[in-house]
Amino acid sequence: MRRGGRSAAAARRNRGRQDEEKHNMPNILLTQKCVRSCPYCFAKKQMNDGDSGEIIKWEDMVYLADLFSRGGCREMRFLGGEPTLHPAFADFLAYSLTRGFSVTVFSSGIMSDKVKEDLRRVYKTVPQADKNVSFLCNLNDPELSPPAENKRVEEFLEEFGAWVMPGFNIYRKDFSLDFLFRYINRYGLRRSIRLGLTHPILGESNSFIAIPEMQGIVDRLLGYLPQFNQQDVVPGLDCGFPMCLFSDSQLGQLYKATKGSQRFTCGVPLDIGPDMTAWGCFPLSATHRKSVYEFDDYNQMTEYFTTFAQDIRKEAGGIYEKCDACTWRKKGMCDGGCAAHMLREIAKEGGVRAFKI
Amino acid sequence: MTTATKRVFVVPFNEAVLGKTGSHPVAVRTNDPGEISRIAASVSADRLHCIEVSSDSLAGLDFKKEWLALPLVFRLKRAGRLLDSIPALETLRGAAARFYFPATPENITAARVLSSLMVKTGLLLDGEGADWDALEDLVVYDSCGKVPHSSVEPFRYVYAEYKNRQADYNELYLEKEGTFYHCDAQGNVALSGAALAGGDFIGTLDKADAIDFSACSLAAREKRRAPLLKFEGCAVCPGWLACGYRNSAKPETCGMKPFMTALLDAAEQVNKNADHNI
Repeated sequence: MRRGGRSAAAARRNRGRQDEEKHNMPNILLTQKCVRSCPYCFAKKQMNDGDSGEIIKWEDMVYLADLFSRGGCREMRFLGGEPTLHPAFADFLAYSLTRGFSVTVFSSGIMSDKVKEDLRRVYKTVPQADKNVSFLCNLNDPELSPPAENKRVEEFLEEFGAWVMPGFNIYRKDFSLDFLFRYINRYGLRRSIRLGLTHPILGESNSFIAIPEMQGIVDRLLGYLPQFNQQDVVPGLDCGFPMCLFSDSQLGQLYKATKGSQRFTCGVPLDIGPDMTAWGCFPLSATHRKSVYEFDDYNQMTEYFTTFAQDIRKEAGGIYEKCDACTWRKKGMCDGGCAAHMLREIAKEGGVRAFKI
Repeated sequence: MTTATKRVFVVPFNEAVLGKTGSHPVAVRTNDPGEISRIAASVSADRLHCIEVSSDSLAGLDFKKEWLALPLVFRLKRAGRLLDSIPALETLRGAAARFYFPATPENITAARVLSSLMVKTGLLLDGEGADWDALEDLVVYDSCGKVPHSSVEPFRYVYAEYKNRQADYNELYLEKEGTFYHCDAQGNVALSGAALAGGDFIGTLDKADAIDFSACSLAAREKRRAPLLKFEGCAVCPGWLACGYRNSAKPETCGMKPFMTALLDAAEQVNKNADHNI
């Protein structure tokens, strides 16, 4: 029986969403301590509210590994604060790898010699570690960072660069990406850059890119596309960029530069704090936190937080008024920007709509 | 390793003492892992109950592949860093050996981690400083965990022997009167490791025929049973049989009751699940 066009499209859309959800790696905050104090920090709320001494315990690590295994998830991310500050960081890494997970560590690259020595041992002794451990280093512009910090970051990149994908969080309009290309070439980093747009964190006063500033950010970013192409570096725009910020011509250029991988939808990353509470994405960490123990498996957690994000999007189609009637949003190609902006607007309107969510 | 009807001599690795144990099974104790292969070569496999090796830490243990099939029981003070054990992990997973630790909070955590990595572990419940709350939590993990993991002793023993009223998990620690007889290098025989250390002998291996092993064991059990007549201590603990009322003389320092209650509840549930193929 031939299915009707509408339902077939809906099925395709749902399938696309499910595929994306499958790729939602859980983020585990090993510790709330950090070595930097970035003005845009997306974990700021978590770090300010929590007990800075609180760290993930071994029992929790085993519990989480079991929980993710049951849900068929074979990947996890270690976040912080600075995750390498956790006293058992390297042991957690070895443990997770031995349990069959691949791990991405979100690090500043600033770490002690002891941690670096432990990392060498992980790469040397744990089977397949060179394939299954990678770092996403959120690098700050060295022009705007203390020299001592730059030195330590560069020391890390010098040794572990082959496993490092650089990341950059855009929190001001006059940003520069030149240093990232320099780092990639000098230290042999992976040839792609995660580019994150900083978002408001509900209940916090962090630096972020306001909605009216986004077009300028995109224009500046696209100005770097020739450099990306010329140097064979793939830009990876993180979540929160609405598709309408790009013209059709720019989307074409972006398609080529990102090898067709660019998405404008929200994957609802799952974050788990050292106190074993979970929330769907840092900017929304002030709302709908739940204990990990309330879920039977990882799929159930993903479903819960995805539903929450969808509920926000039912109340507000996107960050712009025009999102409500947007064809591309309806087709599931764009989620209308970051839900944190929407929730921020909803929260301003008093309790009525916020209560619905 | 259920040995209800056998008489097992627990001996140090000493050729002369081993020679006096006749055809009885032996559990050979050593503090030197380097002796393991020599012990295995000295005692026939059908007589070797186990080799019990006391050492410092799992991380510091150089586990040989030739030991894989041996009935090894390691008594270790601690697990040490996981990172240090990683190179040997594949071997440890495939080994018949079990690794016992004192039930301190750190070791209980290590038992959980190693169990989740499919290494067979055990906890010594006879020592002081056991963290009963953490043990109770580990029982929940072991009995309810839905992801495959290796067994932890004595939990596995209690689940398996739940319906056996003669079962006493101290059998795992080579401490069960009527089954294990502890000998020193001079051939003195005692009913327990503590009795041996305290010089409380029941005879010598040279004159083993003169020892009434059953009567001695029964007398020791009767002596320990006496406090059970009072309505306190072991008499009001559901786990008195499984633990062999080892702490009957000092119930005020025992503290096992809530843990034993949880362990037996878990054993009941595990058995129910098995009966219903769950």
